[in-house]
Amino acid sequence: MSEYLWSRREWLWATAAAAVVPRPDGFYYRDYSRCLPDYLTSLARAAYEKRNHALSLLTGAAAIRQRQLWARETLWKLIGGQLERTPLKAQTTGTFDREAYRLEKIVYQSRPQLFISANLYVPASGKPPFPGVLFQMGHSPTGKAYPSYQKCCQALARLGYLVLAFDPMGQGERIGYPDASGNDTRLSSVDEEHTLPGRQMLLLGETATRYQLWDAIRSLDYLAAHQLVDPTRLASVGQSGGATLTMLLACVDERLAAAAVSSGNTENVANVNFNPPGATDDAEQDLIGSGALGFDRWDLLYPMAPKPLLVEVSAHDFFGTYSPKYLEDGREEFEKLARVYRILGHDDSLAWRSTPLPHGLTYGLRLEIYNWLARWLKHSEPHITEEPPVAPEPAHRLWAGSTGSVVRDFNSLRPIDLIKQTAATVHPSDAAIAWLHPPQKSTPFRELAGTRFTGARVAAVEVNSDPAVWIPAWLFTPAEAHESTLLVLDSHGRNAGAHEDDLYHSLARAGHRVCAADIRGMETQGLRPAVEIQAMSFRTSRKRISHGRR
Amino acid sequence: MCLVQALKAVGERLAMAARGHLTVPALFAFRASEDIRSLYLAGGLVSFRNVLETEIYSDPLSNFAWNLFRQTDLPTLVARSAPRRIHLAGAVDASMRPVAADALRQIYSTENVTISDEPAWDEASLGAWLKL
Repeated sequence: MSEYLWSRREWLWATAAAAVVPRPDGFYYRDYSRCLPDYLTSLARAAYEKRNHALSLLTGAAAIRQRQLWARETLWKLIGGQLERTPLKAQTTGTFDREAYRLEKIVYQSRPQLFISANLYVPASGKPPFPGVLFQMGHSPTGKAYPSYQKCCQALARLGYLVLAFDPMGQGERIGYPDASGNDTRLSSVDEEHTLPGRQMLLLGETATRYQLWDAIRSLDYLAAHQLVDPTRLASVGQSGGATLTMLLACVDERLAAAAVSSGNTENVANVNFNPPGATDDAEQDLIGSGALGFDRWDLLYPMAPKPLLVEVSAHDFFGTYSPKYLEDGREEFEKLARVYRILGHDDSLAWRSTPLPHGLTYGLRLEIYNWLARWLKHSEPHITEEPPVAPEPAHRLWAGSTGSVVRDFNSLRPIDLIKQTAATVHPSDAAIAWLHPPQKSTPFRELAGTRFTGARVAAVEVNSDPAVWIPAWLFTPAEAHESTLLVLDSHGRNAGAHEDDLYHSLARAGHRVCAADIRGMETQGLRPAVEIQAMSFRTSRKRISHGRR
Repeated sequence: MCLVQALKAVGERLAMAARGHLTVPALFAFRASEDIRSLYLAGGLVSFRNVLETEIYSDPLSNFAWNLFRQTDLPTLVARSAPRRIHLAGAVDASMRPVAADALRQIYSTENVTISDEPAWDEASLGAWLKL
């Protein structure tokens, strides 16, 4: 923090944003609730411009290749690095046959004793090797059993693809915080199954992003090694959170020959319409420290170029799934990526499709996926106008384990178990907190107003701690000489003890000067929890909040 | 720490008191700034290790900095701040349940620490501590 010197732009923000506004009563108070959001907006703007500048330099294949390698390395660096590949120890626990495909119930271990439950859809007709599709789930509590996902997987199998559908962390048979039934989460949603442990992982330098991406990589390992698949014709398809996971996989895994991202988080954090906190709900979708690097969610897709990539969106996702400007921001970023495809001479292998319907893998979007994969993995003309017959199965029929819980059925570890295991090996030394030292320059208090209580003067003061961020405080000064000053930080806010005869007044009467402040994010700062996450996206390891979660 | 700097500029014997989840940033500021002579923490989190060992915790994300536990933990910060004195007026675990004083003494064993059971936050407690 101390080495952080303000740029001219930041000084401009500091003076323009959250300006002191005169009130009719003559006092001059700043709108402190705007300080941090405005500051984050300035960081988002800087990150947006930095990235745009970097993209403008992509004028040839060599520069694009360099950017692709950078994106891959940067993602791994941001999420905690690659893990060691360990034996999958795959088991087939059951099968059943349907008219056009066989469904195999399988489990494998993405890490030792970390079980993934999955279904493999094997076409009953056609000649192997088949093109392979890794289907990645959105945040459905039932995971791979969610009806529209089953429809897509069944139809793809009928169309001649070997399809692997696996339960993501905290979904389907992989609930990590089970209720009494053992099959449902006791948390507020399966999003929380990702985010509750995801936050703990941050303390260990690990991320839910890596946890989920590694599961996808190991699932692709299983699919790519299958004797019935053609490993040169592999695709990842995902809807919603599964589409965002597809973006992550597309960034790091060169085995993918094609991808379809349907209603994923295709909106950059740092976008032109940045509206704090932005779309930041799920731990695995937030790339901590990315803003400072000019790296954002769309960078995940650049390594795919010029391979076939289908981006699908819902025109209704601005109603709460994503931000109000989801479509505009997504389209802007799509055009930037399209330019790269054009430079590489493959503008036809990138496509944007939309549906007027709300968030969901709806019929029309599924047809687009079938035709996209037919074109690029089977090299056939798009002509699929009707979905093959599909009939979702009840969830329990798809279970790889006997009771639908990998914890109960296979003694699988859960995210919290891994967190505990790792924490047990860490012994903090306090030796490496070099970033923790006072600011180099002192910013004095600025007094905004003053009044008196019996035996004490009360002043409203503020101190500037970062560009456009002011910290408001009450300063109680005894009428008589004082012995010491007490700086108070109260999670109930600075007003909690500030009334006449309350704590601060009493302490002042007893001869102590008291400074009670709301640090950023507190009470009058009006911080929403999601803004905290946003702040972390712009944070680096050496700066508290500098240039840098659905 | 900007507040500490501003108070330091007016030249005072400086102490700090914090309550609830703000005890975490307060402890970091205390560790970082020798200008703060003593620290009073009421009802603060016992340790990051406890957060990592707790299935369902209640602490806000604002106290979870990247890779932090590999660098330090709250008891370590306290120990490394010696000989400056710190009073722990009660503490809570990651589920916000009070931690018994005896258990706290096991975790915070350095001589610069005093411990009381209740998260007292009143003139008598803070005033008495300031006079020490």
